[in-house]
Amino acid sequence: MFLKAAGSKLVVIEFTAKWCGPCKRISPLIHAMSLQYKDVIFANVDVDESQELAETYNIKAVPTFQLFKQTRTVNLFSRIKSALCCNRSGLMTTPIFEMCGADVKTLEAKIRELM
Amino acid sequence: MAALAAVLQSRSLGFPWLLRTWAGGARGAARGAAGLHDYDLLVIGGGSGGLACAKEAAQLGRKVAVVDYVDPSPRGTRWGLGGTCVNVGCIPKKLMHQAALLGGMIQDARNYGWEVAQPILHDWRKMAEAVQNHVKSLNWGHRVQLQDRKVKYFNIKASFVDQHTVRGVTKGGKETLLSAEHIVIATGGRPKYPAHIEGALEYGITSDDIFWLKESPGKTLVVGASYVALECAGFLTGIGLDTTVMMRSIPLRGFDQQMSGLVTEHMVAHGTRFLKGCTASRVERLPSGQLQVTWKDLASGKEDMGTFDTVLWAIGRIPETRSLNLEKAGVNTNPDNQKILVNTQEATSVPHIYAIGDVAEGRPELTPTAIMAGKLLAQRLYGQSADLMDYDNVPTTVFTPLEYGCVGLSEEEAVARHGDDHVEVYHAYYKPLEFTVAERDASQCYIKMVCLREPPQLVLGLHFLGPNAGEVTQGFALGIKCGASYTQVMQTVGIHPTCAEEVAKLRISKRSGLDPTVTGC
Repeated sequence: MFLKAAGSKLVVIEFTAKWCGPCKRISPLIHAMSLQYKDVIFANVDVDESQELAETYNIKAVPTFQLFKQTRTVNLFSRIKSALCCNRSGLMTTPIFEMCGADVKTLEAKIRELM
Repeated sequence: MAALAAVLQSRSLGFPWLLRTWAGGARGAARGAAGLHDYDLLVIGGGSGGLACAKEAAQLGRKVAVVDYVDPSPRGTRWGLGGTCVNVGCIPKKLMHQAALLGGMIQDARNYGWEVAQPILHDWRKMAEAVQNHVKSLNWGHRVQLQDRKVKYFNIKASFVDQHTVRGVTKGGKETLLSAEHIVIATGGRPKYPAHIEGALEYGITSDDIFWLKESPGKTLVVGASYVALECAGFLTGIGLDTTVMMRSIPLRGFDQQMSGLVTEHMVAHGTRFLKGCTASRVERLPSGQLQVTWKDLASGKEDMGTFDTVLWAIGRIPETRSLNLEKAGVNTNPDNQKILVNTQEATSVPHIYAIGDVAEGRPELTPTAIMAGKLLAQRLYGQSADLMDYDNVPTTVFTPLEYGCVGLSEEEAVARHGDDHVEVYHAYYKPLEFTVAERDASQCYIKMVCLREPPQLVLGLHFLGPNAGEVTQGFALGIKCGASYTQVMQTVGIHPTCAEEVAKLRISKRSGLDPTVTGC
């Protein structure tokens, strides 16, 4: 899974839509951030094209930013535990931070804090 | 055992019922509130009425599903959740009407001191994109709302298999069966295409398409005299397009005819061409790509021709009942118009199957009445309510370039019901203050109040033609609902300076024969 492959890096998922004006406005700013913060992984989900994903992550408005980070350390013991118990606690199914709206300043501050 | 008892009350006794009950008993617990069926309530149609009913039922704790599906228009236009109002009706219409009004206001602005460069151009693409984006955000909003209220939504085309079961087919052809204790049909309607006009289907579009056009419709012929026809022709003219309306007979059938005449008079004075008393006979495509329309003048019998970029059919709407397989459920329709027959409870010929909104016979084709009817129905089914929907004195507004708001009876209806001797009509021609500096023509700005002649002179109907007619009429609708009399209207102080105050200041009756033109304060 995409989030799993991120390892311990901060992941920023931006949920957008083609009909969303603010999303279009901040798009260049988000792109600039993705180039600036090389250790942070940025991804975009179109809520109309990926309806189930938007539903799973409970997206109510666009743009919504969800930040994920694997907080648990992965070692042999936790790997065995995951395999035996089908334990998903190592994977990120809930974001560590969520923000709705186009406030890029607050988003950037949060990214710098969590990365 | 309690679940079984409930089932006994709602189902008719019969052998198949006995078989099902045993199976249902085992599944019942797993399905929770739904019991014997997949859902407590299945709503067919995700428009104004359907969504309101579904959300209300879910709020009352029921297991609800909505199935919505849009058959593409002959032109190929399709849209998302929300129904006619959101996608191809009220919302895009009002936005485009606003776009047209703004054009006029930009011109007025000069008189008010603004330096506005000439000429003022309109970009259809920019407007269409903005309108379409807003509509898509509403599609999204409705999906989120259903999710929030735990209403299950399926984008499938539904048809009845039996009284409690519906077959749904996805766009890809996959089939599902859904069963429910109660079913609400709220499939609305679609624009009618003329049956016997060569080329009509191939070359013409309807209101289903106009709001989704990526390119400007250009020189347009609107065929029809409905509010859809006049509103569309109105905003097309307003954004600068060469627009013609072709009508077979009277404008706005069903509305007060004096007001309707003033509406079209205003449109004529503001650049819309009218072909009155004409019917189209043929539409052909020319090598240039333009459309050639041939029509007949009914009075003279003469034929004439014209060239247009777009032909928009706005000759009426037909209910979406054809593909529902209503016979499988035993739901009766009016043979004349295919609308579903309902009683005051919105129930069809089958007690547990209901119909609301445009698809139901005898109902106003309006969003707010569908919404209210849907909510009240859910309350009656699952709440403790017995309240029926009141379809009397429903206010509405036609958003033509000069807007027409009305509530209650037309003058003709009042006279037909009470007799000319028992009706008093107060009226006035007025001039909105804003029109003065802008040097706008206010010849059609007119108000009339239809009342009973006997004191206290109950107000039977109010008709307002002027800017912001919807905003003006809404408040007076409350007054009429409360049984306002003309005496009370006279006692109401106006807000100055507004157009609305002219309603409260009505003093000249038609009967008096006096000049109804309002002079300045």
